[in-house]
Amino acid sequence: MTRSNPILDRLLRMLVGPPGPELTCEQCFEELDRYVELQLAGAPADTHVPGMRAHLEGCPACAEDYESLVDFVALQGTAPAD
Amino acid sequence: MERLPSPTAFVLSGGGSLGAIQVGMLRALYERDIKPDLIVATSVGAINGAFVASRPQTMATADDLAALWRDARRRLVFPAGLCGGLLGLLGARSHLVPESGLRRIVSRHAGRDRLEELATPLHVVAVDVVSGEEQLLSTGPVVDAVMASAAIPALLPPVAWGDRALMDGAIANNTPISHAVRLGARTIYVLPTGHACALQRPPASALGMALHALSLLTHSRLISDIEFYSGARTKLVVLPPPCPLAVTPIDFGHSGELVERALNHGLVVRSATFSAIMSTGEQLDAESRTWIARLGVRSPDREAAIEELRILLLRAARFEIRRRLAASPHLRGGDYDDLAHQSANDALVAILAKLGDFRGDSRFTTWAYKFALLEAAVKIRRRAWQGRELPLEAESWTSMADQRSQPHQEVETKQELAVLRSAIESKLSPHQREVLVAVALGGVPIDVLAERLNTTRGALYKTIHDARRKLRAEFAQRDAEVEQYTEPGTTR
Repeated sequence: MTRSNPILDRLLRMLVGPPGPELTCEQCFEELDRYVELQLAGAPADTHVPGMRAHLEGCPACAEDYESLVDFVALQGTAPAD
Repeated sequence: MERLPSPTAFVLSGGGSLGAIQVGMLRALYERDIKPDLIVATSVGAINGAFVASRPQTMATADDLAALWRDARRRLVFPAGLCGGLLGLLGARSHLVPESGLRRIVSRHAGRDRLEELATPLHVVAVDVVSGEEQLLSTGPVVDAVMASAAIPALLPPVAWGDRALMDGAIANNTPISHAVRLGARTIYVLPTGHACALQRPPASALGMALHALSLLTHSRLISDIEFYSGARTKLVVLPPPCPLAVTPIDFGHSGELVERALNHGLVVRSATFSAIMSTGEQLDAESRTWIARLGVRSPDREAAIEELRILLLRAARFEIRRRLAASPHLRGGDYDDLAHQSANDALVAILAKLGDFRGDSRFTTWAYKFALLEAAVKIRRRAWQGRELPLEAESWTSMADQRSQPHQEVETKQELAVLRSAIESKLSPHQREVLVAVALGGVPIDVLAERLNTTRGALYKTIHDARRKLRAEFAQRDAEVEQYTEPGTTR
């Protein structure tokens, strides 16, 4: 269902959501730390935590929480503590 | 899911009325088609074990056991008569209450006469009153074996077994993992009952106090056993008991409530523990293990550990707030350090309450950080939307889309928007429309909307999910219709 208008395309994707099974917000939070560590370790996180990628595409708030955890954990590994 | 090596043992521990918790765990295991080749049990675990060992290992059996627990009342289980109690206190009798209530319940539901006749082999643990030696009972009368294993000293009479007198196995081995290992189990599911970790005050009665103390004692033995037995040869899967728990083992007045909680907890167990089979101790890295040990309720170092954790959480909260401020220009200039401290403290409370849920799927600090980041994100999102009207009207979104479209795409856009609009208006309920439009189009954070509508993030996402499914079905149908009316060979 790709439209030539990118804005409309984005709107549509937000409205109809990701296809396929996805986790709920609670399950997403439950699995978030495992998912993030697998990803940072270069492991196939989406195979280990099915439904997570779809949920992050469909839920902007969970996507924000996910990005924060990835960035914060990655930062702890590289930079000295502030 | 990874199939674990067989034979499989279920180990059911003691814990008085907290045995209700095992019902939810059993149900969750049966639901995953995980069945035992043998059961090793102590005390109340032996009562549950005898019930399931004589029946098919199915969810229906777990439901029947749940029904039995809902009916359990302390009066029935421990019918303490004043006279009998006095005799016990004066030393004329070795126990305070007659065993008749419990024996009646056990005989009614045992199903078979002898341990060796049970469909699933059951081994129960008891203790020799005189020598203190642990006895593993694998053959003999079911009811006597279970009664012996559950004969709480001083409360219930010891049970005669041959020329010995036996009492509650919990004294020696409340969670008999060691026997399951010796009986050759390669995968052991441990079903602990937990302990009352969230009492507001000490138990009022002497009996309540004695049983509570026993459950604390056996809990520490369980932890050391788990550490000792989780090795490469034996897979140990410890099902997390619910926490906080404010019911003591003597309190049968809450059995119904415990069963409900256990069944709900079973759902959590199903989604959490089984997604990654946990071998406690084997998987936890040294640093995480140290955190868990230091934060434990009996750790002498607990205060210092909590303070260290609070500082880490504060760092995460500050990081999140700085990040959100960069994305919300209208919030800049304010002082948000209070918000960071508040977030760190709220996260700390949540973490300490959920410590028992930490499965070692990630490092402890990664697990902890997610709580602080969430607390800070929720608080700052709420602050950013404070006093702002939420775009809940479906009308607002078409103008939003119109504003952003390019002139040359206008015709196509208008047609598409008309279809969308009609689908949203005709297929969705008013609530679905409101929620989907606000979150998916209006950019309202789901937690902010949940707070305004007095509901939860999870409930709102379910609404969005259902609305999206309806829209997807509508588009699929429309595409199919277009397909049908398109001549072969022509391009649309």
